[in-house]
Amino acid sequence: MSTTKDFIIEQLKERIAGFKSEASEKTFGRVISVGDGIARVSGLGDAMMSEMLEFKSAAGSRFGVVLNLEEDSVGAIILDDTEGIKEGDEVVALKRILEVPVSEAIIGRVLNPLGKALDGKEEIKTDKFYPVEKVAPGVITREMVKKPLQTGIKAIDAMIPIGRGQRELIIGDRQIGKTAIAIDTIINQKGQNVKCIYVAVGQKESKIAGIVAKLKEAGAMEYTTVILAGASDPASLLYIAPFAGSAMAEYFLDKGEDVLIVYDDLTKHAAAYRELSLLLRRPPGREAYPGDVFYLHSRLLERACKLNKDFGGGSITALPVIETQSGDVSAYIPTNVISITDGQIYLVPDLFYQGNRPAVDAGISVSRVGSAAQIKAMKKVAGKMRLEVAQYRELAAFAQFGSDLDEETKKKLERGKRIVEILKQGQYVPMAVEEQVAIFFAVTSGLMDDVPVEKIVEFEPKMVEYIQARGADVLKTIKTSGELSDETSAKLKKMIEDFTEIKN
Amino acid sequence: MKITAKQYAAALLTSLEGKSEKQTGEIIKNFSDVLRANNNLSLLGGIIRFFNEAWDKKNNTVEAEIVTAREISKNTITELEKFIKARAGSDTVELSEKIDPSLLGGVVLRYGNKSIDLSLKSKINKLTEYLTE
Repeated sequence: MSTTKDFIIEQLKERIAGFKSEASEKTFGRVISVGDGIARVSGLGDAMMSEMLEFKSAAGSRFGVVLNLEEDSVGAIILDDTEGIKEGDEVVALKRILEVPVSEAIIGRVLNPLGKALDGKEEIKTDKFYPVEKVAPGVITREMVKKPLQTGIKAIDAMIPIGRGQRELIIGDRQIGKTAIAIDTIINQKGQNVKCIYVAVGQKESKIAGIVAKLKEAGAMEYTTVILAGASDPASLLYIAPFAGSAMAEYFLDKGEDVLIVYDDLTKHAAAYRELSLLLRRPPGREAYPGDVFYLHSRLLERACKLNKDFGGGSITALPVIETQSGDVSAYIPTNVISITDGQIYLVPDLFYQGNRPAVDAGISVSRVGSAAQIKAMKKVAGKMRLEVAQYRELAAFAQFGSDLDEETKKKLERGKRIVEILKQGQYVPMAVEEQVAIFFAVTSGLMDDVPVEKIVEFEPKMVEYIQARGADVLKTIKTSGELSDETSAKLKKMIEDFTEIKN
Repeated sequence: MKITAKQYAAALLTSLEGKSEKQTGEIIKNFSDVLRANNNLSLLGGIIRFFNEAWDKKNNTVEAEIVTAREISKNTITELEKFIKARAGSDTVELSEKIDPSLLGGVVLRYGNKSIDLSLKSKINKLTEYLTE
């Protein structure tokens, strides 16, 4: 017993001996006014932009960031409760730009935008910090996006492929599955060597708790970090959350890894920034947003990149989410973000309520990277399918008016209906590429034409099961070679023809 | 054109340059008349602040504050004054002393817009932070 006591005391002594305290000359100022998460500070003549400030209030130290430098005062946001800060309190400039802790230890954690633990586990211990605001990688360090990032969602992987290093916007009204797409994509990154960061801005904490539980259940928390700035957090935290997430992603990028980062959602981020800007008395512009909201999002999304071999070859894929008000994409923030990103996944309520989930509108959704971000096999089957879907849409609208249709048109309509059916997919069940290829191959080569439309939903999983059991080697070939050779497609065709269950 | 508090302070300082005490009273009176005429009396707080700053700068003096937990000896104060003079590089120091028992020990020096915290309180805070890390 006494040895343990001695040991503890010895440890404590050692620890204290290692403590060095040094006093240094610091520039100080005084709080002129404080309120709504904003403080005005006099003095601080040599404060820098986005420098950290320490507010020495009676209730303890509070931290803030310089956001405005004026002639004789400094405007700062407080990254904490403003309670306890009084007029006249001392404010010290810390000579440090705002930064967040980064390390491998952040994986699997739920953190606030300053890197503090929110999941009740221990704090992140690291001596490595990355600045929250960082200039995006330049032209010479970059390279074309060419490697696919599989979302596991059939409608997206087939028609709106996303590549590693791309910025793809997920846009749509509330409650129609925007977050679901992002979460399914994260779940599908298992075993793909992609680190995921989910940044929740202004979300309900109950929703995030649900998401974290789901990710844990799917085993996705092993490579995922959740950065949470909840609805009850001050606007300053909401404002820095995406940038903090991006800084953490850059840590993995610098190690040459692939990262997927989801910003959910940038509408609330813009609103938080508007709040801060108005409180700092910056002039309001359209929809009362300040003049630099475009720059706010463009500098954030520009940090998504694909680096070339000489610079480590890592990538950051960004999936920003934007919520529209009853489908109004011509509002200020949606148009801004649409123009910044490399394409958008557009979700429509009509499709959602018809039961076509995910409710992706393949007509107006685009990916500017295109088929460069698909494996060859997928390119082969999906290219044909996209065309057939487009033809079906055109004909379906036209066919509503007349019943006398020729054989050709009828056939196209039947095919289209089947394609729409197979694009339906449940939540939390992402599908591997090779299985997707097999399904698309079946439908585009007409092997499903004899299955009744209403039975497709039932037929599809059973067919996949059958192929998995009988032709695992075929799937493996597609996966490893990424191609659909004549030989494999012949084998695949044979197998699907043999599978006669449910067919009439 | 809007005249800022800083500009008023600079104007007042220039007009007071090399004036006798009697003339000063006259100038101050005129100055307040101008402020009233311009409807700028509300700027007074700022003007006083900037005037103090500009005056100190011109005469190369520095306002300093020594905060301690207990009374300290005259000798220590003179030593500290010398130290502040050297740090701030000024000729004279306008010193004020303050007692703040919550510091527990040590001293906090403030001069101009700089501060050095040598108090026991901040050291203990730092040690707590270090040990709980």
